[in-house]
Amino acid sequence: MSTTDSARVQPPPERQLPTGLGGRLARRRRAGMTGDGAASDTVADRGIGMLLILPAVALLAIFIIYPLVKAVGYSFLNWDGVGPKTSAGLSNYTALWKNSVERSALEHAGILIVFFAIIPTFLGLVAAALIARIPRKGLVVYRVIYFLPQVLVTVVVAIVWTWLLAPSGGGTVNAIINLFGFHVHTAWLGDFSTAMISLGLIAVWLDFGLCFVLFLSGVQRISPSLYEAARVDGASLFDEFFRITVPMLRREIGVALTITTVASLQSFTLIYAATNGGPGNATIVPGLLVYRDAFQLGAVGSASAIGVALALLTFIFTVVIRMLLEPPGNRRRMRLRLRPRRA
Amino acid sequence: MTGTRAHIITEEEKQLMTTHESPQPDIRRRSRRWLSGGAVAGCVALAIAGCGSSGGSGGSGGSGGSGSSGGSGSGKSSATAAKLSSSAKGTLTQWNWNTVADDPGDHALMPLALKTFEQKYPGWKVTNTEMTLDEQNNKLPLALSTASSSPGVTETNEGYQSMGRLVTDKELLPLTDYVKLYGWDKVGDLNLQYNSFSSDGKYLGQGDVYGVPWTAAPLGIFYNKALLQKAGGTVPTSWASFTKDLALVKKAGITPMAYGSGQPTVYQPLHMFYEVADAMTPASTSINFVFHKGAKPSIDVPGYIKAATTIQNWSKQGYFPSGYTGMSGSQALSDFTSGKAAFFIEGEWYISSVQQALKSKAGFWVPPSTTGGPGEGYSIPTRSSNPDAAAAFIDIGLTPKFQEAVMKEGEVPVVAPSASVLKKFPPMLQSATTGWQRTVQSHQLVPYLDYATPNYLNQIFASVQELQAGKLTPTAMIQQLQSDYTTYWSSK
Repeated sequence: MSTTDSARVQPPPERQLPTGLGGRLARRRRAGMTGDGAASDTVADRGIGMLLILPAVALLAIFIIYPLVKAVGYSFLNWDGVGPKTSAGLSNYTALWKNSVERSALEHAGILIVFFAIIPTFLGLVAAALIARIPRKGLVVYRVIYFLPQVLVTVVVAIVWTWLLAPSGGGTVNAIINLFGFHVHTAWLGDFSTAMISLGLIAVWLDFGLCFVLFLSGVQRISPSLYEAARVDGASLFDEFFRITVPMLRREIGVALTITTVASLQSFTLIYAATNGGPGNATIVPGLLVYRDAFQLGAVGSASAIGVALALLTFIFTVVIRMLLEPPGNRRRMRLRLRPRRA
Repeated sequence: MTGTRAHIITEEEKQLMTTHESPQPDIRRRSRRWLSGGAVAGCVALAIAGCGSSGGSGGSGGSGGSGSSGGSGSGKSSATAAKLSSSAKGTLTQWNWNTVADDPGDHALMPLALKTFEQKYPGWKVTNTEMTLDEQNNKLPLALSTASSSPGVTETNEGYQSMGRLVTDKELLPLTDYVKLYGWDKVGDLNLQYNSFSSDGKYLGQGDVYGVPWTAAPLGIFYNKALLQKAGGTVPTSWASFTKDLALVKKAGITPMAYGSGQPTVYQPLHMFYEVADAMTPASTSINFVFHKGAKPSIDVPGYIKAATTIQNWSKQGYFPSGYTGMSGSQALSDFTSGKAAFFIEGEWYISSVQQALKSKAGFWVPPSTTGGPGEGYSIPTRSSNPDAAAAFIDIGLTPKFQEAVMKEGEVPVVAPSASVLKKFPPMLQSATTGWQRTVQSHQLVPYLDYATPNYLNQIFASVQELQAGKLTPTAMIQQLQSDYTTYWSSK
């Protein structure tokens, strides 16, 4: 994102502040501590503040931090979950790279990000941009239709799609293709060459609606005058899309990408129900391995190791997405997400 | 277990999946095995899934508690094994998982067992507690650790993850003396082996017996007589005649085999692989392999490679329906019951559905060597209030009267019925029963290969799919399976 673009769209005052540690402190002071109605720094106030965040912190500690720490601990053990524990050293982690099944699971997770996150985000952007150009009648209908997959229980989605992608039978994808004179009998989810892509397309179908609805709400907040001005200046459709729509939706894109990327890394239900990692190990994903290790094999150590590795990957991806989408000066704003976008 | 799995799949979703997967509950007779494997680890997996505090401490507390108290109670009280005197009095608490939904057949049989026992021992009452398999698997380890919570007699689930764990914690009584006392070896070696463990719970199929089954379930080959006749084939009587039929049927333009390896399918590719392998490998090879006996148990032998080659050839020759990789196990069944394919390799538990659909047109052939296993066994907890009464109850299930009732429910009895009893039942159930007895007595009954290691079910399933798609050569497939096995056992 070039600086000129962002400046035109939203000139953030923080941009002028010095950078570096001192600058950051100064920024924080200006934004929080010295702002209107901000808490002053007395001991009593601090005590009340602590008290107020206590429930949230406690819940976080019990339900997120404690299990996380435990899981990290388990990941260095050989343990069936009940019997004696023995130290495994790093072997549960090295197995992730050494074992071909684990390795391909990680590769598949990477492929799925394309289908779960990147394609739906892109399609969602295009769809939202197109809709922004037409009169906004009937928008609710689109919103409901596209968002519907998100509301459905994933297992239902998986089962319906296994029927649709069955090799033969009335109403299947093959039957529809064959209406046009073809003779297709591919078992889309059962064939080594098509299983992953078919799963990917289900994921696109599933996540497109979420992205679309997110972007739609963003697009509606873009002032039409921006587009009008751009058109007066002779901007093409492309220019409008890349220089107005995309930059203005940067925050929504960040949210959409983060949610869908996390979902793709954690994907389990859809794959468990649709292919169970098959054929062979063609669609195996880390989530499925965690489930098998922990629930079927009693290998709690390696299940934890996969889980921890997955958490790390998720963390890295989230950070990368934010770095890509947020120019340095804007990061703080993203973190707070409180202030309205434009004055 | 239901609760813990809900972290990943909610209850209603699971319901949907099971109903989709198995329209008739009978199919689950075998699938229980690995479900239970999950159940044990389930409480632990909680910790990973996010409810760590309760799952983690509950799990370790359970093993700790049972370990310490188990030490004192592990003395072989079976040393005093005796038949129950008919004048004795008492109450026997009995647990099972024969809920209507899980196992309608056994559910219907239980009242008869209770009545027969109470008639024979008028001073005794038996309580009947039914629970789901998941419930029981979660409850047993803790319940059996104290005398006050332990049932007098309970159904247990074979395999490392459930019975093996109870044996490790010394929560089950070795039944060796009762087996002698009542002559329970009439159920056949393999069925007792399935329920045997070394005293540390590490080796399945070795050491003392810890459970005795009432029912049996062999795999076999269903055939459609009408289609065979049309193709000029004969009813299969040997592996050679069966393979000849396959070619004839194919030539006549009929799909030779009803088969599906897509989701949701749990077993069919494996069961077909086992049946082919049993025809080409000595049963002792597979038995030693599963029970990890002998110097170097191995399936990396010519027979298994030949079996894998055969399956690959069948795929190439079009013996399976087109698009079988995208068809589920229940679709395969319906292909067979609707007369679209001549053969169907699966377990005896489909007999009732096939019988209903095809009537006398269908037959069931148990090959000379076949894979199969007993139903869940009944066990006596170490802290049972009265082991003798428990043994007397277990014995009721093996009486001729009860075994005949088993057949009335469409299940295969574990003890050989008399010829006159056998005659009363439909031909397919007859062949399954005689086939079971024949293979058990000739030591040609092979345990499920996927009992060999906890992950074998997944590994064999994946490699059969790869084999059929030509992604794996027969030799590579068998070598890979062997190396998975070796890795597992060397780390154990």
